[in-house]
Parts: sequence; C-alpha cells; structure tokens
Amino acid sequence: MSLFEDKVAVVTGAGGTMGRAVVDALAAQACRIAMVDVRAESMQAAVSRHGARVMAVACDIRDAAAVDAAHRRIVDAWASVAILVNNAGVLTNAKIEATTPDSWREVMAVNADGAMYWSRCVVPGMKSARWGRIVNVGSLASKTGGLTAGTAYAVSKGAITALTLSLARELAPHGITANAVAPAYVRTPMVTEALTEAQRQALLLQIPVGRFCEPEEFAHTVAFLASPMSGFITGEVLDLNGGLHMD
Amino acid sequence: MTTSQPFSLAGRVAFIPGGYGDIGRAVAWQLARAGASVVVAGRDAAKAEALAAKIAQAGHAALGFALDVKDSAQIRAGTERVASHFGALDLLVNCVGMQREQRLADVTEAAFDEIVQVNLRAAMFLAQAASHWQIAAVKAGRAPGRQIHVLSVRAQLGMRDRGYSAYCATKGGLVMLIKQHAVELCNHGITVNGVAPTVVRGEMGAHWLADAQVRERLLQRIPLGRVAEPEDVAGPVQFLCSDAASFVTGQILYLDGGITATQ
Repeated sequence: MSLFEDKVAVVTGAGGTMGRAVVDALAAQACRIAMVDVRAESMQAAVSRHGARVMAVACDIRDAAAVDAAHRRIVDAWASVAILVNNAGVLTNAKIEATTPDSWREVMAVNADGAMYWSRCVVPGMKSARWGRIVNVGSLASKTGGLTAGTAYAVSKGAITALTLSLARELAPHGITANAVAPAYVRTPMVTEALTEAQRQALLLQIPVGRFCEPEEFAHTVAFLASPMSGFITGEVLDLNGGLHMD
Repeated sequence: MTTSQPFSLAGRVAFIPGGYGDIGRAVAWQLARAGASVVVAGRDAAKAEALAAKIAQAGHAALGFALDVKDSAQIRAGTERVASHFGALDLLVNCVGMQREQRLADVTEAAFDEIVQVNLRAAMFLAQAASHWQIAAVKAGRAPGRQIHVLSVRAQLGMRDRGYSAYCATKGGLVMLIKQHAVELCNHGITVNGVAPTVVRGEMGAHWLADAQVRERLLQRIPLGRVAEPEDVAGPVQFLCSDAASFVTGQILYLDGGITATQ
C-alpha cells in the first residue's frame, strides 16, 4: 500500500541520522523527496539508494534567500511541495551561563528560522492544492526545559511548538495540517552518542520503556503525520518519549 | 518492523469492545484490512456477530460475541475467549462509551454511577484482563501488545451550556488511567495510549449535526471545518497499534481538527 502517490516532500536535515530515516520511510511509501541539507556529501548515499525518487538540494536554511532559491529549484524540477518535514536541527547542551550570543543565534537560526523560512515557501503551493502536511520536529526539551539539552535548544523547540500551533490555526481552512513530533533521545550521534556513559545510564533508568528511540520509530511517526491516516489531526504535538513525559 | 509496511498488523489479534458502534466499526475494518484478526464485542450479540460475519466474508479473520462491560466476570471471560479462539490477545481497543446528558443541578446518582461504570470502570477491568494475556504472551516470546482507549476532547475541555459532568469527568479520568497503566506495563514493552476525537459522524454525534444552528456553531469552532469521520479515528488507532508506535506510551492523541490546539 502506498500512502503518498508520488507526492513531493521536502525533508530538511536530510543528511543526518533522523533525516535519512525519514527519507527512507517516505520513499518506501512512494513519495518523491527533495532532501535538503547544508552538507551536500551527506545526501549522496540516499541518492544512490533511491535514485530518481530523490533529489539532493544543498541549502543553508539559516539564509532566507537560499531557502527561496532551493524551493524554486524543487518546484521547477517537480511540482508544488505537498509535504514539508522541518527536521533540520542542531543541539547544544550549554545551559544559560555557558550560552554565548553566537551559539544562541546559531541554534535559533537553524532550528527556528529555518523551519519558518521553509513553511513560508511551501504554503502558497499547498493552498492552491488545498492539501498539505507540515510536520515539525519539536522535542521533549520544549516541555521540560531540557533534561540534558541546553537553554537555546529548549527555547528553539518551544518556538517550534508555537510555530506548529500558529500554522495549524491559520492553515486549517485551506486543507493544510500542521503537527509536530516531540521525540526524546533518539539514538543518533548528535543526541545519545554525545552523552556521557553516566548520563546514558541515568536516562535509561528514567525512561519507562528502558531504551532510547530508534531513528526508524521517529521516521514512521513522521510518516504517519504526513499520511492520509492522520487527516483530522492538526495542531498536535505527538510525544515520542517512551513514557518519559506524559502531559 | 518493515520499512515498507510500518503500520501492518499482520499476525496480531485485536479485541474491540464497543466494536459495532460507529467508531468501533471503522476501527474493526481498518485493523482487519491491516492484517489483524479482529474480535468485536458489545451488549448486542446479533450486532457483534453480524459485523464479524461481514468482516469474515471480506476475507479477514473475525469473531463477534456478546459482552456486558458492566460485569467484570464477563470481561475476563471475554478476553479468555479471544485468546483461546485466536491464540493471543495482542491489541485492546476500548471503544466503549456512553453519555446521559444532565445539568449539574439535575445529575442523578444512578446516571452518574452508570456512566462511571461504563466509561471508566470498564476501561480499568478491560485493561486488567487484557494485560493478563499480554504479559503472558511477552513472557512466551511474543511481540508486546498495545492498549488503546477511545476518549474524547471532553477529557480536556468542559462543555459550555450543557450537562456533561459525568462524561467529562470519566473521560478525564481515563487520561490518568492510561498514564498509570502505561508505567505499570512499560517493563513488558506493552504500550498504553488514548485517542480523543471531537464529534464523530454517526449515532452518538447525530444530535449535534441534526440542528443546523448547532451544526454551524460546531463547525465554526473546528479549524478544519468538518466533524470527524469514523475513519479519522481508525487511522490513528492503527498507527498506535503498529510497531511504528512502539516508543509512544502514556499519550493522548487528539483527533479534533485543531479544536484543542486553538482554544
């Protein structure tokens, strides 16, 4: 069963572990995927794996003009974007006193500005099609202030939650849903492998299911929110945290 | 979990009390089409058996029988029947629910107690009886089961100008029941979650839609501009039943066209 019938999806941060898993999950459902990442080489393996079903678009999403240009390239080559997965993100564990203005600006630029720039680009096409899915990647940190994650990261993910609500409210009359997935501790080099062994053990004791989230679990949750199965869900933040936080 | 079929329920056995109501029926068909064997149960044996027969005629494994969820002994016997018939009880999807509208000043003890019994007490003992089979299955090496309860946006929102004390209180109570059961079952890998729809087209929601003025007011409050179809509930239930959602537990997924997000 194909859930997506050749729809065009944009996945930002496509070269990272979580982004790659999302690309694989959407490709398996017959999506065409424009992979966006600032590191062109990080997307080469997926191009070899999926062939013409994917397109690699190197883009620095901190730059609004670069996002506009990348979006134009995708629409010109394929068609309007039907599914946007704002997955790109950087993580810093620096707490308030260690947060410099530059590191704050960097985290906000990638995590919040980039998601806003891409959303702004794809909305007109989605409105014309009267169908669209925006899936943002939030975080448990936006609800807890960050167990191990830093101040800038938690705040940037809070911005993602607010962006999700704002988009959901504004775009629902146009047949566009906007939701977020809020994962905790996905098994990636950026997240769990950057923890100390003591932090890892303490977290595993704290997470009710006793393990970290697999990238594929994250990817399939994104695929669910992008699919027709979730057509009546909008403005939701779906918590993917193994029971670590229930609100 | 396969990448191409992450939401497949092939080989799973689903027990769906309240399974011939509008939501239950859509859930039963969706899970059957996703590959699960389905068991439909409810007070009316004829309705349960008729739906199971239809699903079986379409080529899926199905069973229907009578079940009064007010009787815990019947609940235990029901889960035993599911496990003995299909060899397991992997997925509990509790679609049981009722409402008797009474304003605060008019709430009777009998009506309040009945709603508590059906909406909350039955969920407790369905979960208990299902968990007995699910825990045994995990110990025997079978993939962990799932429990999903159908709530309502009224788990979070009061209902202005209407008599919804027992309904809101019991749906809100289900939220905590789900969280507690999620942490009690997490060591076995069994997940417990809820779905919370707004008005769903069908028998229970019919009175909302019959009056044009009420319908208009309702639709104005739903950002997506429509009420839920039963299938809008069935899709998320399938997701929560699947391997794809094995890291999701203790959560309530609101299926409400954006109502709770924009309150």
